[in-house]
Amino acid sequence: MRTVTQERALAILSPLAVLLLWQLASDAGLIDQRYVPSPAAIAKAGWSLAATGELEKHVWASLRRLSIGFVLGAGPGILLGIVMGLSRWVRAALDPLVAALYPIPKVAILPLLMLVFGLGDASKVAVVAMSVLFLSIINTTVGVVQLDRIYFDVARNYGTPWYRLFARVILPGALPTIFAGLRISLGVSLVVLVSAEFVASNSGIGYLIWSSWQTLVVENMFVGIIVVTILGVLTTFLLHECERLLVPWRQI
Amino acid sequence: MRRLLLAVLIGVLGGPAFAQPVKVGDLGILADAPFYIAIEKGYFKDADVEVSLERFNSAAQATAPLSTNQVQVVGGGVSAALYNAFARDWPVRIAMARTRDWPGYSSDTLVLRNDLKATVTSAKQLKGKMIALNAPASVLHFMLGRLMESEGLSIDDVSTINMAWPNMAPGMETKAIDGGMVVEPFATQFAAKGISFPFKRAADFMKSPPLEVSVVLYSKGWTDKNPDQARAFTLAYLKGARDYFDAMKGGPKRAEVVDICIKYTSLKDKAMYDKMHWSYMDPNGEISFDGLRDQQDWYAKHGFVATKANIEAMTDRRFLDYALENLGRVDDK
Repeated sequence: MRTVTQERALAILSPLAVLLLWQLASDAGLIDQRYVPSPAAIAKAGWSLAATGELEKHVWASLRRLSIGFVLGAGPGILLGIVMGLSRWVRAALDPLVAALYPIPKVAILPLLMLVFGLGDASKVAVVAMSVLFLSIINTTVGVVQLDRIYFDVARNYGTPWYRLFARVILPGALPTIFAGLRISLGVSLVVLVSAEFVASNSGIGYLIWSSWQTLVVENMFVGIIVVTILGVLTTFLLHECERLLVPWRQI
Repeated sequence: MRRLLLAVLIGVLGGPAFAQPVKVGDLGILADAPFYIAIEKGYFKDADVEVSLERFNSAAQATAPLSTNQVQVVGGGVSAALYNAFARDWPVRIAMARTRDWPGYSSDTLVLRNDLKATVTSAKQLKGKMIALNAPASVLHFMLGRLMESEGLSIDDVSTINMAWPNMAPGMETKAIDGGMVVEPFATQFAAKGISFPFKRAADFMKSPPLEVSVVLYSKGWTDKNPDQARAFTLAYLKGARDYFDAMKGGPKRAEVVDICIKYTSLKDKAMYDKMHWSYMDPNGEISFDGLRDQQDWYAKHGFVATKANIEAMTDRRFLDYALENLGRVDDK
């Protein structure tokens, strides 16, 4: 118990130590504040953005796009991955397509997506969903394929119906790999979303970072970057907790 | 050994006066033409200045490396970024004017979808329309604001979205946007394709002061360390700017300048040079301080600039004065 507490304290203290060192280096003139503002200056800028409600607007815009895109990509991705994992024929048919489409930089096709989905949230949601989709397919397929065949044989011998096989064998067996894929997808989708918001948007954290750099309001740009890191940590924590609930047999 | 020493001595004394090449940040656009002309016609070589080009996507991206003297010269678009760079005391200085909008030479244009031609005839009717900008708090944002204000409205009466110029064409075709703030050749190209029509050019309503679009920026680190090279560079650059001015007015150097621009810029269609508006470039490099102050006031009023800079203090015209002393002034009309 004591070790867990110490670990948690260390996890909080290490970023604080970095901030403190950064502030001290700024105060001592070791870091040129004209280019890299001090944590205190960034906090002040963040406070101003929060007070005017601008920060909240950008955070919610990004969170909305991220959550909808993530669900729309992960849901079909997991289903397709399970089907591909169970059927070698489907796998043989779809594997080349997934291999061909997965490496396409999703932001590169954003102008095309904007034509199809319009300028609003839909195009950004689509780009997030696409980046999550392929990672979910790949990880889920691997998770299902690697299940020990003996479980299927035993289930078949006992005449287990398909829905029970799915609920008792396939899903629990593949879930750890599926969650590993979701964790990677979450990070990737945040990167893709921020990049998409650079291109054509007037809200979102990516827009805040891009427009602040375009106008050289460097403090606001750092506020945006720090908010992205906080969002990354919080969403990963949320996913981690979901995994703890859904896969309790796996110690993380 | 003696021969070797002699060779080294000859190398040192007989080599170019400025060994370090000047890195120029360019965007591959028509406004960069004086750099290209001065390279192609040997003006820089005549001044013993070696120049290398570093391509950037936007002037705002080039400002940071300019301030750290990684590049020495940039043709900088006037924007909130420029004033904020000054306010942050970034060591960059305005050396001379570059492009502005002038009647007959007005590249900066608000284009609207063709189907709006009958219904939108004045700025008042732009209220509620979705207009695309290539960058926030840029010269085109300011121009749109001034246009709205010219008929008693404000920038808040239109919706704006940021997108790259090439993306505005499909944006208008799908009616996702009603118009866009563009520069040439986009205004002419979109019109030729039947997508949009030029609704207002900057010079139609911004006359005094005119719309100051871009300036030539020098790195202070460079001019402090190497003022002689900066003087020589400016002299050669101004010769290039004057060739551009001649070409812009349809003078004898036009064909040659167009060929150089085709070689260096992304505009390869020769016929387009006769169809589109060229940006006005002052052959004496004189800066419109009224225009720059007007723009800074607007950015400050709309919250893009927190601290206003003293623009005269951010201008170093020693090099321009040197070039004008040597080349003399020419009629800028």
